[in-house]
Formats: sequence, C-alpha cells, structure tokens
Amino acid sequence: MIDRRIRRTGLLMLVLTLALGLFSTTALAMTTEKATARPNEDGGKRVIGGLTTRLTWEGIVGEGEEVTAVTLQLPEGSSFDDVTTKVTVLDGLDRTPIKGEATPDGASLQVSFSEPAEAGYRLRLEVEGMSFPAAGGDVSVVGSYTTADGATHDLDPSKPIATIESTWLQRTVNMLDEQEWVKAWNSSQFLGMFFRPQLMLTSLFSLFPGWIVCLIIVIAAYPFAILLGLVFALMKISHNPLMRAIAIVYINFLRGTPLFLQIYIMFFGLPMMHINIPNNTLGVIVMAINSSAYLAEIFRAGIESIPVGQYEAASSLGMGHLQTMTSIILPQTIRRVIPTVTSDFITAFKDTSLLSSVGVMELMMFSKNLTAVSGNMTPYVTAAIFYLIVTLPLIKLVTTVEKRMAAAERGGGPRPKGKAAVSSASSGGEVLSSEMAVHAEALSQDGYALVPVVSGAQEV
Amino acid sequence: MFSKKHPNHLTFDVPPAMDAVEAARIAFEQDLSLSKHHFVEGEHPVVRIEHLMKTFDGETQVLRDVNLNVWNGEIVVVLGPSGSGKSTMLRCINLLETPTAGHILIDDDEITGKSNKEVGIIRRDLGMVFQQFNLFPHLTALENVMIGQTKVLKKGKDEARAEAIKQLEAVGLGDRIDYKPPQLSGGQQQRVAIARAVAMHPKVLLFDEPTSALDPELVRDVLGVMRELALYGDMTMIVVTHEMGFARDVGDRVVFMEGGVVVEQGLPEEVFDNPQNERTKQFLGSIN
Repeated sequence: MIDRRIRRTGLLMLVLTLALGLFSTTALAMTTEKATARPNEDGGKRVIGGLTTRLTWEGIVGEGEEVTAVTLQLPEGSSFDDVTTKVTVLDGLDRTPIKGEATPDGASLQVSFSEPAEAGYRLRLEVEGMSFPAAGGDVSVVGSYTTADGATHDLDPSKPIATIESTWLQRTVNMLDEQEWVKAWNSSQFLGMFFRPQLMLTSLFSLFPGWIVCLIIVIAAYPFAILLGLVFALMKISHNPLMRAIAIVYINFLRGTPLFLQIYIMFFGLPMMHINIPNNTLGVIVMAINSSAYLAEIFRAGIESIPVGQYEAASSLGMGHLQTMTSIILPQTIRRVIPTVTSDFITAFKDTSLLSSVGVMELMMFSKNLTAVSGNMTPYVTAAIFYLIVTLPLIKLVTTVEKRMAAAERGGGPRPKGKAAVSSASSGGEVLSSEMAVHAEALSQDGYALVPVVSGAQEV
Repeated sequence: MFSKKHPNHLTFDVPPAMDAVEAARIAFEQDLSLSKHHFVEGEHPVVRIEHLMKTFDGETQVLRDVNLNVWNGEIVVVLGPSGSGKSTMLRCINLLETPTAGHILIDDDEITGKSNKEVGIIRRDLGMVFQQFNLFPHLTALENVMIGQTKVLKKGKDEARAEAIKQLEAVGLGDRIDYKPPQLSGGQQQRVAIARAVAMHPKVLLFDEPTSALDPELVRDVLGVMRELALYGDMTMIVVTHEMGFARDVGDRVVFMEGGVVVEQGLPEEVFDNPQNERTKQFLGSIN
C-alpha cells in the first residue's frame, strides 16, 4: 500500500519535472535567466553606481541553437575596464569543459567560447570589478549572442538591477584606494592604523553628526548652567543660613562626585522612577546641572573679588542692594570671570564624551562604533580633530582675554579715539591697578591701630 | 547686604536728641566763635552729631562720644592721628558704618536706626569721596558721573550727560570723559570721583582722606579742585585729611580728634598757631 503510493507520487513528480524541463528547453532563443549585482554599499544592501562591484549574468541557450559568443551591453557610463571574468558553462547541474574568454570594451563585454554551447546549456558570467553608471538608476543588461551559423541575435533585456547614485565621498574613497601613495602610506603600521586617509575622510563625514550633537548639548546646557550657577552663587553668599546650606550641599555634592557617576544616576535612576526623558534632553540636563556647580563657585569667587570700595561707592550714591548688584558688581564680575567660564565651557564640551557611556549618539559614540567596525584607530584620531576644532580657538581666546585684562588693569588698554592719550611716562607711576589699590587699602587699614578691618560691605 | 540692625545695647546713658530749635540755638552760640562760617540768626546746622559712639566687634571702641555740628556752606576739616576715629565718624555720617549709639541728624532728621530703603534715600544727600577713589572701573569717566543720576535720581540720559560733562569740565577733565578709570592717573581718578559726588548735588560732601593714596605731585591738582569747590561751589564739606595747608587756607573750622572724641576745634589759625589741648600740640608738633 505504502509502497504503491510512494511509487505513484514519484511518477507524478517525474512527469512534472520532465514537463517543466521540456518547457524551459523548448525556448526558441536564448533567455536571460539572471542578472544581479553584489551590493557595494558600506554596511548596506544597495548597489552604488560608479563603484566597483560584481555582475552575475546567466543565460540559457535556446532550442536548436549553438552559441559561440555572448556580448553584454550596459548603459553609457558603465565600465568593464580591468574586470576579471569567470565564465562557467553548465549542462544542467554539471560543469562542461567549455571555456570562455572575455574581452572588455568600455560598457560592453564580449565573451567567446572555446566550443559552441549547446541548447539548454546554462552560461554563467561573473564579472568582478565592473561598475554601473555613477548616476544610478535601474539598469537592464542587454546585448547579443552569436550562434554557430554566424548569425547575431539580440538578448532579451534582463530584469532591471536597481542602482543608486554614488556620492562624491564614495568616489573619492574609491579613488584613494587606488592611489600609490595611499598604499605606501598605509603600509606603515603607525600611519595606517592611526591616520588611514580613506577612513579619515569617511570619518570626517560620519562623525560630523556626533560633533553637532556634542555642540548642541553643551550649547543648550550652558545658558541654564550659567543661570543656575548665578542663582547658587548668590545663595551661597546670602545671609539666609538655609539658602547658604542648600547652595553648599548642591555645589559640594556636584563638585565632589564624578560626572560619570552623576550621568549614571540620572540615566538609570530616572527611568526606574518611571520618569522617561529622551537621551539628548537628559544629556543637556545632566551637563547643565554639573556645570552649574562649577560656575556657581566661579561666580561666587568673582563677586567676592570685587573690592569692598565698589559696594561703598555704590551705596554712597544711594543705590540699593539690587541696583548695586546689577549695575556695579555683576558687570565687573562678568568681565573678570570670562576666562574662567570659558575654561569651564571647554571642560564641559569635552565631558559630553562621557554621555556615550549611556548611549547618547555623540561624537565619542560615533567614533567608537566606527572603530569597532573598521578595526582601525583613525576614527578616534578624527574625533580628536573634531574636539580640537572647538577647544583650540577657545584656549587661544582665554589666553588673549587674560592678557588683555591684565593690560587693562595696568592701564594699558586702548585709548578712546581722537583724544589725547596719557603719556606713558607720566601715567606709569600714577596708575593704581585694582589689586594694588586693594592691597594699599588693606595696608592703610592696618595703619589704624584701633580700627579693625570691618565694614558693612564686608559682610557680602 | 548692608542689613545691620541698630543696636539697642547702649553701654552708657545717652540723652535723646534735643528739640531742634533748642539744639540749634546752643550750637549757634557754641560754634559762632569757632568757625569762619557766616552764621545767620535762626539757622539750623545741616549735620548734627550727638554722643556718637561706635564699637567694632563689641570690643574695639573707636568712637567714644563725638559731638559736632556742621552748618550749611561750612568747610570743616577734621584732623587727628591714625586711629583717632575721624574716618569712622565720617563713614557713620553716611551710614557706611552703623553707629553703635548716639544720634546723627541731617537737616534735623534723625538718620540712625533706619531701614535699608530709608538709608538709600538718606545717602543721596551725602556725597562721599574715598581715599581709594572707588570709581567703577567698567564705566567711563562720563558714565561714572552719570550712573548715580540716572539710576538713583532717575534723571533722563541727556540731562544726566549734560550735568556729568559740566562737572567733569569743572574738575578739568573735559577731555577725558571717554576714558576708563584704569587709563587715568590717580589724581584724575580722584577728580572724577569728586565730579561723581558733586553731580548728585548732595547737601553735604564727605571727603575721606582724598589725597592720601596719591603721589605727592598729584595731590596739588586734587586739592585745587577741592579748594575751588569750597570757595566757589557753595558746598558744605567735611574733609578728613592730613593736608595742613589745605586745612589752614580753606577750612572754616578745624576739628581735632583723638581717641574717639573731638578734643579741640576752632578757627584754623587759632588751632594751628595756638593749640590749647596737649594732644593737639603734640600732633601738630610731630608733623611740622
């Protein structure tokens, strides 16, 4: 019973197979069975025009034909130059001894066979190193074949192969790959590992969004940090003990613990309390809070560095506390703290890299990923370049501003235009810098044996 | 910031401020022979200091019992050795120091024991020139003189500017109005500071050793400005200084302080040429 059923099923399958085989081999002309290209997108699945790839084409010789040559034709802009073509002729599943010889000619490739390929034979061409037009688009492989009688017939067009336009960057990298100096450069282990030109070029582009994220995070965080810092600075110098205590705890906790830890607490702690904030926003919040503690100390020191005489002079004009602060003390404080605040900004900008540990897609994260993929250090070096683009000019700025402020303190600042300048010979000895003035004030106070250095403004 | 409560722990009995008319009458009779001021019958002193006492940190007693009347338009020069309390007295008058006890009256109004806000209003009438100039270094000379007028007196920009230029020209700095303090010499800075105080048109100008921080060759310019102000400015001035020449030439009255009290006062030539108090003699002897 079982035996008969198996036999019957087997018979049915045999008939079906024969019928199919008959159908496929009874075609009157050669059919194009397949035309595909290997994806050449970096980490992607698409075929990019203008970059080298491998074209695989298969055709089956038609009934009553014997094919001696096949010519593949691609649209203008394609290239078969310098290709390696592997020709395989199959009879069913068996490899035949027929050899093929390929002759590339621009956008066409002619393959002639050592013997005519008989009807039903499958011709497989694998063309390594060819490229599609750089403009991209759907590409059909057309062409012609020559039969043993010398007649030439057109091939039916293949199913189109979807290609996309290549970018300037991809073509440049492709070009760099072939440069002799690049090969020589990369043969040095150090240069090839840290400064690989192709990777540096691609890194510059793929790290760019991460750099922008860093900048956005720190630029968005900083105004809040300044505001918070000012509030806590004023709280710390306030007369209210509760205010002072809050400010001291806040500042000391944030300055006394690593930013890394603060990031972990915020990024893992908040979700556990079911507070879900987008990564980048939370990054801004953490950076703002962290910087605010440092800025609070900078502002406090700045405010306290303003001589008591400034408060007294403002008071003696009849200014109130708020007016004194906003018109006299803070404008001077801001000028004094600009270099220190800029230094802190540099630190904050660099510290955004710590956010990579919790998955914020910033510069460090991008370079880490790219290094993991490429196994090369060049993305890290490129990231360093991106950080330096921001930090070096700021470092220069700090130095310049500090020098200028020192000069202004000495009275060497720029004179107003069109007015007679104080001659340096006469001003040199007379001008009292603010530090000297403070010093002199302290000395003169010492002179009063009975008058301790106490005044209302010193309670600030 | 300047919140200091008026202390109520008085260490000795101080009589309350007298009735203004009675006090003025007594002061009038007392000061008539001590000052070159042109007294007008029935006028009241613009500054009346009664039993002023100041203790720092509850132990260092700097002012013991200061009594002084200053009349409208009078130039009072306060002399005394270091630590005699003259600067502290001056700073008490515009409440930069809060008196520990005693009374200070400006135009018969008590100014001690006031709230912060009232103190601000009182200080508008009391210009101060500091030893260390205390100009605002982030502002130009012009802005230094304007800022009190615009922020405190709420004057318009143009009006304040015109007044500031007038006062800066008066102190000989018409060509320096756009300079910032660090670009000016000490003498120039102090002249700007004087212009800043005068521009507020205070009832009394207080000078706290205005030339002590200056190089000798710059002292003359500042004293010149002060002299002009005293002679032609129709100003009431209390000047704490070590400049004896200025005291003698310009002062209507010289007050000598020692150990936190006024030990001698009188016409400049009398105090200088014929001092009565032993300490005054000693002090004048030591500097001459």
